[in-house]
Amino acid sequence: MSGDLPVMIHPAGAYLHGFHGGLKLRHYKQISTARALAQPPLPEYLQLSLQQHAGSPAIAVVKPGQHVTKGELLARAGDGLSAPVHAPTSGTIAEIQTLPLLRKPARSAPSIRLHPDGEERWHPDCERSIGNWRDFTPAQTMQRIAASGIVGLGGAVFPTASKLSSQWQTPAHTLIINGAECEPYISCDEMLMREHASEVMLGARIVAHALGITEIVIAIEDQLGALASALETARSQLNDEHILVVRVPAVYPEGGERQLIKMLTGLEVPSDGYPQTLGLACINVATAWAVKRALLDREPLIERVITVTGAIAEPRNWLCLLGTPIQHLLQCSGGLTDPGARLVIGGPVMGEQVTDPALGIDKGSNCLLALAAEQLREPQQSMPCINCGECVRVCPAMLMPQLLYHGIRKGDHALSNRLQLTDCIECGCCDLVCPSQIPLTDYFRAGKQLQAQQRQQQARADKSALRHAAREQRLQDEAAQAARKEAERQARASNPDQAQAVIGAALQRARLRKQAQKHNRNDTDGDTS
Amino acid sequence: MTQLWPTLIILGPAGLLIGIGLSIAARRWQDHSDTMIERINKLLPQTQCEQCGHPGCRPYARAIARGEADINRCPPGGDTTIRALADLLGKQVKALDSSCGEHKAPLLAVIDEQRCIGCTLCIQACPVDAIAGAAKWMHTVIAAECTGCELCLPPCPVDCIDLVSLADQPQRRIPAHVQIPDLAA
Repeated sequence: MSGDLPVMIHPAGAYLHGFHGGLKLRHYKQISTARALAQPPLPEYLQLSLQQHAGSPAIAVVKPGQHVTKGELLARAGDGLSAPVHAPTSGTIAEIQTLPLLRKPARSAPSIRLHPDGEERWHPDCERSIGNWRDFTPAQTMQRIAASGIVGLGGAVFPTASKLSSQWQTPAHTLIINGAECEPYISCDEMLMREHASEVMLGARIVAHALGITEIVIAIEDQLGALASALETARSQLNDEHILVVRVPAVYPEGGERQLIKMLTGLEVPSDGYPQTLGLACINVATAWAVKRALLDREPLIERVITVTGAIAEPRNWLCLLGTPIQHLLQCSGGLTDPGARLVIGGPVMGEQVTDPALGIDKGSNCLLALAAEQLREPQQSMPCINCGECVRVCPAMLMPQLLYHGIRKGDHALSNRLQLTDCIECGCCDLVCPSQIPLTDYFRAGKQLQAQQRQQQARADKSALRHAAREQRLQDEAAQAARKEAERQARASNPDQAQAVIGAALQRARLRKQAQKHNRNDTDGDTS
Repeated sequence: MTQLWPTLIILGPAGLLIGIGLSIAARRWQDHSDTMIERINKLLPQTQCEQCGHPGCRPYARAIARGEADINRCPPGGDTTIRALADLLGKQVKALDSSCGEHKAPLLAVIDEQRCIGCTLCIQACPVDAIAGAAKWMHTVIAAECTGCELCLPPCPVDCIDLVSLADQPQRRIPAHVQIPDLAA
């Protein structure tokens, strides 16, 4: 981090700034908001991946056949960045096997299969009082958030406690609650705020209290008028004038953390920094709700709201246990209306195709979307880049996608590094506008992966160079020691008189010792006789 | 001719002084050719496999820096390393010298612990001390430290060491028509 950081002129949210690029997309959100939030019936089994968060996988602490209660710890956080996983309901552990991840099918991780017993019996820890959150120290609150397995529920699934406890270069002043879910079709955050507005605000207050922040800004999309009035009602009930509800224009991807911060404060989060750099904290509404439930209701993160929408008989939002299989959710929602529909987990732009409907939803699953066959774009032959600059115009990260594309194609990593490939947020805007149909985001993902591989390789090479040097040093030292010993031996051999003298002295010592022993024995013999 | 003397008297000693000054400066702020060796060494894969004919990556880097060895003698590095070296040294890119070996995917040595007799010969051969064990006790390879150099294979009397392909990082699905160098392999 270098140079002075910019300072906010207006308080966050008081004045709306724009951000570069972005696209206006059709919303399709009303499809799933007609029905109220509900809980699906208990599925036959829950499939809980131990990699539902960014960082290392959680480590299972239960064994197949073991009976667990609701809210019991199933897997503790792994080393470094990680988060624990808890039992969403009471039941029996059936098996632990390695399965592909739902939202990253190319990777796999251990996964626990839990057969619910239908009793929904809570773990005693979840019923014991933990005291008032206002009396907690910040460290205690963060510890509680970490132990409850709370991660960023907007989709990045970064452990929340790690995010909020990291370095603050500027004193924390504003907490932004991100309710601006920008991708089409997804309405889980909207429904959550409609039904649990005051709980979300309480969660925000808990986080703000722990960080010593007074100002809270809740950002929602501008066309959600009903929601805005619901939030205002909740705010007046809480009687907190430090909470500000801001309606931001719906330009995809305004829900991206950096884009939202730019919009609300006019500040740009530095490429090598975090919102903390600017004294801002930014969490998703669902995360705030999870914090409230962890600290007030003593419930770990075991369920989330997921939108089931698209070519579905009864599209709606479900408050659904983590690990609920995709096929169970589909059944509860009346099934597909188009047998040829493609199932996508996440939104239509950034989502990932569902490879196995038997997998369970994870902490980052915000939407299950069935795209009808006629909505799918035909796979097209991509044409050469014509340097039209459309991708540059829409890129919200202000990158040069067409140059990056050439860099990655040529394998020129220095170029893609210089063009800040790591700043790409993979929003897919460039893909959508490219007249040559080039799958740019796929290139950028692959390029990022390649960069990560190279960093790994370099780290490995550096380590083996060190180890090799250490070994050389050790061999040298050993050789030097052997040479010294050999020299001493030679010196002794070349001087026979001295050697004889040494031997004579040793013999003399031995003789004396023998005599002394004999003497002693005689003495003791004398005593006993 | 008389005009020449003052010039010589002034410029001669001045040149001498500047020369002495420069030579002192050069010695004081010497550009160690070590930095060149380091820069070359940094581009080598650090497998320490000795296939180039030098006892390790650094000695090979030293030989390159002195102009004693060609840049195309590193099979584990393959074309990528040759290209990087050519860039650094301003030389022509060449094909890998096939007398040194062939470029392979990264490998990992695995000891069949049933067959290991604990002779310690592989421990002595390992260039990065990545094998743990003691005389007449089973040996094992520390996977995180192994460079896959294959130097432990020849000394093993019971042939209990296998080289397996290093489990690659799972790769992201890329559309079939997207061709990316290195990643496609």
